[in-house]
Amino acid sequence: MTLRARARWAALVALAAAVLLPLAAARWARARWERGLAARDAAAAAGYLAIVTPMARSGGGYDLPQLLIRARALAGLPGLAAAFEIYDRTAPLVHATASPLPPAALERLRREVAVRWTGEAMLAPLLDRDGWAVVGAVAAQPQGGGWPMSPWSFAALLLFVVAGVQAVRAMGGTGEPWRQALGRYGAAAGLFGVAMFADVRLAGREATDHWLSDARLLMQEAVARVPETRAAPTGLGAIARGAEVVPGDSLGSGVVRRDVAGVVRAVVAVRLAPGRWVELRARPLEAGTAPWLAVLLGVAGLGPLGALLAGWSLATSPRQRDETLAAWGFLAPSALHLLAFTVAPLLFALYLSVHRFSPVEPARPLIGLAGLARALGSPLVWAALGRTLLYAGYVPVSMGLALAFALLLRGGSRGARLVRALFLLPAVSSVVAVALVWRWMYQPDVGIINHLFGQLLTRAGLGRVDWLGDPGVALIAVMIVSIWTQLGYQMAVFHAGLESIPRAYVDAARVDGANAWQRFRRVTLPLLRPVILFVLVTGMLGACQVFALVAVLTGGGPVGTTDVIVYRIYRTAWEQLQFGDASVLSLLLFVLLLAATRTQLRLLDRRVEYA
Amino acid sequence: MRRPKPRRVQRWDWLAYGLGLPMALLMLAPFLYMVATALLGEGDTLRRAHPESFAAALAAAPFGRFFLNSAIFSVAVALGQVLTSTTAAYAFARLRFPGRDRVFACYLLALMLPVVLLLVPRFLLISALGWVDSYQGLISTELVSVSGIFLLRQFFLAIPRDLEDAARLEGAGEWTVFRRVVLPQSGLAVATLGVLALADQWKSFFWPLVATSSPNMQVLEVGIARLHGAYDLNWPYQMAAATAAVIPMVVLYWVAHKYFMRGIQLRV
Repeated sequence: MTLRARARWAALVALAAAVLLPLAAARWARARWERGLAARDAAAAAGYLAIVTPMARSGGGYDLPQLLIRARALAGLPGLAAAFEIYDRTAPLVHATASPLPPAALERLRREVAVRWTGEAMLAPLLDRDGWAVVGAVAAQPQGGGWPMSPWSFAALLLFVVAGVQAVRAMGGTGEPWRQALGRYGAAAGLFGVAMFADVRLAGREATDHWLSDARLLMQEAVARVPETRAAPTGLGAIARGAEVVPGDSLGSGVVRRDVAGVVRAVVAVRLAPGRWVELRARPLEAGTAPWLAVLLGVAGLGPLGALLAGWSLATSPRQRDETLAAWGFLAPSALHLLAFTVAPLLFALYLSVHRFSPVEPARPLIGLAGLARALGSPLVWAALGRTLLYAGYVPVSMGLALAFALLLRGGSRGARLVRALFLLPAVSSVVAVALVWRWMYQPDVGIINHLFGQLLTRAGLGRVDWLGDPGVALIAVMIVSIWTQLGYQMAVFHAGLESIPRAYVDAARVDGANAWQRFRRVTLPLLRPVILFVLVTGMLGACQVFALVAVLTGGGPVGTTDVIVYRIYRTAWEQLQFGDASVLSLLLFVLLLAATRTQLRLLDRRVEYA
Repeated sequence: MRRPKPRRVQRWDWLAYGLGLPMALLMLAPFLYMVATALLGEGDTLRRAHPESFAAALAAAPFGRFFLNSAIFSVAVALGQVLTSTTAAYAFARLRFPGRDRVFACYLLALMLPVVLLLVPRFLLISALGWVDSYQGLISTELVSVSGIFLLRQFFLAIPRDLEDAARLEGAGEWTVFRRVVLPQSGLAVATLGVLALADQWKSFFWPLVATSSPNMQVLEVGIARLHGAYDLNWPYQMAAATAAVIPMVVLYWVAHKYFMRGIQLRV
């Protein structure tokens, strides 16, 4: 097979996959919803029978002739979306000649008392009046049939196939025609994906509608047969399990979508008596379908992607093609992971930031930039940002100290190495443990710091300092701990930077008669500039995101004086459960950090070249 | 030719030790105080050792479980990061493909994202998958480290290509070159990355705090932070817990000191 033929085949296979996979996915979704509908219908029928059938005079269970009549009447009701079979224990009642329920299935129903899929029907337990013993079963069979796809989807499918075949034929050519064909192919794929999504959504909508109208039908039937239930419509709730029953008004005959307290609900009105209505409200199935759009578009996009890759492989040399393939093979684990766990969450954070989103509230209305406006208008947020910046001021201080010690302790002797290793210890040990130790040392009454330096502090007129409890001191206390942890790390980085400076430069300056300060100022410092910049930028980024230290040392206190921005975000998300607000603040922080980093780089970055 | 050392350097040395040693002791002091409190109790009872208080503190919370969780979490993540980082770094350092630099720039952009920004959506993601409070949820989000990729790329760029090119001329595929030629040469860098990842994850606090809820799934850092809430003023208990958390890191640092230093050198 020639290369060209192979590329064509590959593109055609991609096209076939892009056509069949969305169809299969849509079919799967439809089947799942039909089963869900059958399950609810089975439960509704069981609830209905329990209400309308009188109990047997003696022994447990229903009066059998009555149950038989009711069951046949139920199965004969016009307009139900599922076909029913009702079993008294294992005996079928509706179709007397049908095969009985396997005893094992009934046993299982008795054990689990839950709706179960048998392979062709949904089986719900039929409970006695008290809801105690399982006396039989209700099987509801989803009525499949109907077109597997809407005419619109079919048209989109045809268009997609035509555009795909055209693109495959144009493959190998270059320039405008190929690009146009590919563009059409992509557009057709998008159209097809959207059409299939509409199908899926419609299937969900229909399943919801059918269930609610079946529930209404059974409720009205129950009220007609047992008029006492009119007085207590909540007793009818067993028929519409999963839906809310609330007093309502006439709505017309259909199932409507209505905004109830910010959440879309499928609503149907049930007429109990002249002028008396209740409403059934349920979460519509199509409400949770948004991820399907991404899935279907992605799968449909496989076709154009395949054509693009096949076309590209025809246009490039085999060597380059193999290398690219290998490269993406090597990149695949990390790239896929970044897509799933970084890019997708990032997009989701953007989505969250324009919604009022709380995990405990069902209503998640779109609020646009109101969240941002609220964040920018909040003095607490500005205070937290300012505090964070103030806190980050420890970075230059510790950098200065670190540079000084790095210069002092440059030697390669065992002693110098040991000292350097000791310096790094706080940076490598556990942050929470470090915070705990410092909390203990900072204790105002029994802490060792006040114990050792109490005299000194008293003489300086400070008295006994409540390090973490005094609003004026707490942030400084946190900064001291940060310096203590970061000093060794920064020193090690500076040390590595100093080691990488060619000795010849310093020696040349020495020969020219420069003294130690001049050598440092004119030779070492300029050559160290990129390292200094690295430490500064990463240090500031880290400092602006401080969390664990603050969380354990002060918990944001006292009176909020150590409430840095990330701690504030944490509390917004996990204490107030305002995920939307937290996302707004995080994005704000991200933008500020980006801007700050850019500014630092622009102000300080000058290329250093080792000649 | 060795240059004779001028006398001035000797004087510098004295200054260095004169300042450096006390400073190093200052660095060490909180740790010593921590261990002392854990073993001796606080304040007045400082004269007498109470090792039983240490044991009691460790019995106050399921520390064994915390250790196990921390170990599973950090080892799994370190292994995953080594795997994903070596392959990705090799592709970026050695292979030519269209858009390589742009893709690499995208990777680096991911490095700029604040941890807290991804926290909420990642939590919602793992809760949609039903992974909250499980190892999968804890581990899965951390398996790629862009800084690790960057670090290894620097290393790969620094080693000579001759051997690889020779292998390619012999007809070896990229995977063979990577497995047989590049990886054996980069033991040091891979070990460095592994050690750094291990230490980073052991210290990791924010994500485990959010992703786990039951004591059974808590890692050591979260566990001792919670203990601090329960035994607020019982300092010997807290210090015992802190000691327990620090010891593995100190041991790791002691054993793998070389790799910590190497990691710092590679990043500069």
